Amino acid sequence: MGSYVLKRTGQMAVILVIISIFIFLLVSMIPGDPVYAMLGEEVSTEEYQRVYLELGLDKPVMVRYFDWLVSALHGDFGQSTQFHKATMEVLSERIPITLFLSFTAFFISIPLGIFFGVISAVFRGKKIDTVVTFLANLTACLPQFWVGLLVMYVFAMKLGWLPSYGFTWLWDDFSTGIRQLILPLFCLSLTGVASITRQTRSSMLEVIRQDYVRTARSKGLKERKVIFVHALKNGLIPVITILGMRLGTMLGGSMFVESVFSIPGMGSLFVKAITSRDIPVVQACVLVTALVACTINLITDILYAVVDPRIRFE
Amino acid sequence: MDKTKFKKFIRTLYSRKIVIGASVVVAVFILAAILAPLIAPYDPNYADFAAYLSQPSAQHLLGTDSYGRDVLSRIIYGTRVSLIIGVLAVCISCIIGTFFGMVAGYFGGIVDDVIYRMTEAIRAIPQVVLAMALTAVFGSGIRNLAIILGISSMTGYVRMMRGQVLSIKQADYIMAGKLQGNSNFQLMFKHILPNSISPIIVMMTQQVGSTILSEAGLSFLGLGISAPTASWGSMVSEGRMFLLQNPVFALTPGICVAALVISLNMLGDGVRDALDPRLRGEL
Repeated sequence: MGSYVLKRTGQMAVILVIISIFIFLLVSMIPGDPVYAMLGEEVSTEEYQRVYLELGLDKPVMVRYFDWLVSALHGDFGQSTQFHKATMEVLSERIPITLFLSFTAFFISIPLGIFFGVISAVFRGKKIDTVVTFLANLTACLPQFWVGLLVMYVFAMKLGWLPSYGFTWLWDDFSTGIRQLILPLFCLSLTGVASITRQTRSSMLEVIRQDYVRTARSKGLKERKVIFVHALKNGLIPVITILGMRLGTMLGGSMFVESVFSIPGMGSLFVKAITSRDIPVVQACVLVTALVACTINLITDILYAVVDPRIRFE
Repeated sequence: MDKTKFKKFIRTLYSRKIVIGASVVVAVFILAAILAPLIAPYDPNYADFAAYLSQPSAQHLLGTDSYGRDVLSRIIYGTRVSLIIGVLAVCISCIIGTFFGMVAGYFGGIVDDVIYRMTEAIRAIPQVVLAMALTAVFGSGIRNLAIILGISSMTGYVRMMRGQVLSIKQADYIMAGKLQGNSNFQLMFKHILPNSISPIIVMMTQQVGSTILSEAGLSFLGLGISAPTASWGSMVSEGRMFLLQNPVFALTPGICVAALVISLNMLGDGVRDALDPRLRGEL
């Protein structure tokens, strides 16, 4: 097990290095002069010089990469060109909000998805299965931002039950915070629930057919125990593999949800940074997202090896 | 694919009512895109400020937007943007992804290692985030968006094609081809590629929908198609300011995205089931 974890961690490190090179090269990939692209054509000569040197454009690309990497590892991504502040200073309050939203939606969608998946597998071909499968397929095709606007229109504007925008940390004001969270979290979890439902359903159908499940039934176990203890244990293994990717999708989805509900998270900043070509902020956002997504991937991979020992010896 | 096989494929594909329904919807959208100038009641960019944000009426079936432009006409023209980007991006990612996957699987060793690690790295960044970062660099517009969405979704082809090649490589006919003195590239493009065509087609048909969804998302965030070109995503984004006054304006383009994507996905599932009998009946 130890060697497996080590091997996986090593692979993740390699992937992160590649990603960091890619992120670093974002500046060099800009067509034309990167300084003009970031600051606009009418920048003063002093400002031009400052940014030119800060980006290290006078040095060879390898040196620049290592300089950049070392400062990035210290949390220094350079000056944000639109806020004229250190990038991390701009980001530090926003990252936790995005992570909070994504992780909460992630943890909400797992049990719900598994529940609906099991239900529809157990009642395969019945009405409830048709409904669940249909809804799962449907929600996978709905644009997330559109679902956000729809629930906002219905529940916030027409019915007036919930606020339509904003974010408050739960420990600052619990009731406001919860009310502001319901719609964004609903929107963000929806696709997660749908995809976990589909995966659970198909892997449960696979497992329910197997001999040991029939044995469990024939020795007189209650149906509930057969499904939830015997079948689910093996049925969940393939579900774990998609969980890793799911969190990445949640982080991506958070961009839309934050935009729709005016939540001051990393996503809304990322969008602003892109439109104003604030490359240091773009770089930091991509790196943070990739880092979190990779870590979760690593954890689910290890979890996968824990529940299914065959994986370790592949 | 020869003629009888193709006929059989079409027959299996259209043996299910839901696939027929999906094809009809997709066909309607394609026709709307092609015939846009003929069927759109107004010029999509003609601003009639007197008709600012008007409700659906006989003159404007879906009302007008905040510039007094006809929403229905803009939706019809928006179909073009979605379909063009969807198809172009899928072609780009298919060509690049298939090529790299084939090369990685065929040569193995260090080539495989490099390509595979790169693919894993791209996959580790959430697709939306990757596409957004690329728009920061390359800018938006139809051509750039197609390239960006193509690049950010090519990893699926690399993985699939690599797996295909690894299993086909062992086949006797590849060995025979090698003994005949075929070059590596002849083997790859004449023997391996034609034998992996069905999973490629399946993947392409299933990807069009998700690409259209991504395009709408980027345009909604203001990073995709920019004004005044009509695209569904940016229409929703313009309409959200006036959600209370005129919900039709903001919500109908989204319904179009959903309808097109659902139909494309159903069609894709139908194609998959018809091409690959092993997968049939799984859902």
